[in-house]
Amino acid sequence: VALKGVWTASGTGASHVTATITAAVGDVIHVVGGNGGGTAGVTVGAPTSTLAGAVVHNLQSNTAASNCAGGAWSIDGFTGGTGTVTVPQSSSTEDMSFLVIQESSATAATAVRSAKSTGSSRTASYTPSQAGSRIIYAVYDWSQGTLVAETPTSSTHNTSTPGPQAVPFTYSPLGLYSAWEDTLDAQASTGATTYGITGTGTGPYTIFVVEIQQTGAAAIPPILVMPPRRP
Amino acid sequence: VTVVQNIPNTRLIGQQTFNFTNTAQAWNNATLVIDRTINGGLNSLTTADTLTLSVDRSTDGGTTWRPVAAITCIGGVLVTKGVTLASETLGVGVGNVGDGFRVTAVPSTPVRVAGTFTYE
Repeated sequence: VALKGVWTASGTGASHVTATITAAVGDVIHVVGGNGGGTAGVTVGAPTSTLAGAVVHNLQSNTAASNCAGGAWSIDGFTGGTGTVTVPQSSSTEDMSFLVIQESSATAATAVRSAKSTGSSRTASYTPSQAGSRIIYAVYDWSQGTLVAETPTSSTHNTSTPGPQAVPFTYSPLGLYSAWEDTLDAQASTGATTYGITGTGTGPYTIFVVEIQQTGAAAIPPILVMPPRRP
Repeated sequence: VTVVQNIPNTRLIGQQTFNFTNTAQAWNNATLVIDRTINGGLNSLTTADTLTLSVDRSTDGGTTWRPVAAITCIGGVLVTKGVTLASETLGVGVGNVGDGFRVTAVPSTPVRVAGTFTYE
């Protein structure tokens, strides 16, 4: 799995959009997003894209019910060219964030290679279906609890050249909720790994874990974190 | 058609496994929901107590099992923004006709569980 780009965005509004993306045939884009879940029933909707040929696949989602709303999606089918990815939410006053990952040499994630949990668990264990997969995981804390760290850290669960990499994105609007959104490159084994956060908080947490299988060996270039562009 | 399978009200003294029949079609998700509020349930414990819930998948009728996902729930009455946490959920993808699942619960101290495992 070769990482080509990473985009993040956060704040209130009916939607957030990435900067311009150049997608080649065979590229795959993965999205995780969540919001504060301040009102029961609010959602983070499936993303849309202006990239030619884009086909969006729903992986996991959660409608707010005294917890954070959110979801995970994959997008493939690109025929080349430039465009953007937009992630909407059902309430423009909710505070939301997203992490968008663009890859080549990857297979679009499917629901069967993903997991979701809601409740008091600070982590969700997941077993990748193959070695070398990329994992995206996101944790949304409705209580905005105590200071915590993400787990696993890049130094213990990434083996690719040129070195361990991860893209932790944290967001914690005061008094609303906290979000941690990460991607970890090639998994070292096919054993179960616990993804999430450490600490003593009790949430409730909304967690998404998505496995992205590689379709061929590829070096992972340096990660470029690009600024978000508001709609 | 959504299929709901019940996890009967059960007092766990140690590890216990609940098995479920194979799926009849390729669903999108299977979701485990555990009720925290039953008498003797998670809400009756302390925050130092835990209950680990794991989901395994079998594609050969239960001969071999592969771990899919797991969570570690915290005991006690957990109140956030004035709302008491009432349930725990764990969802996993279901890809193929015939996939079977089992749920294994491991409590740190005796506790009751009850809930559902739903194919959606």
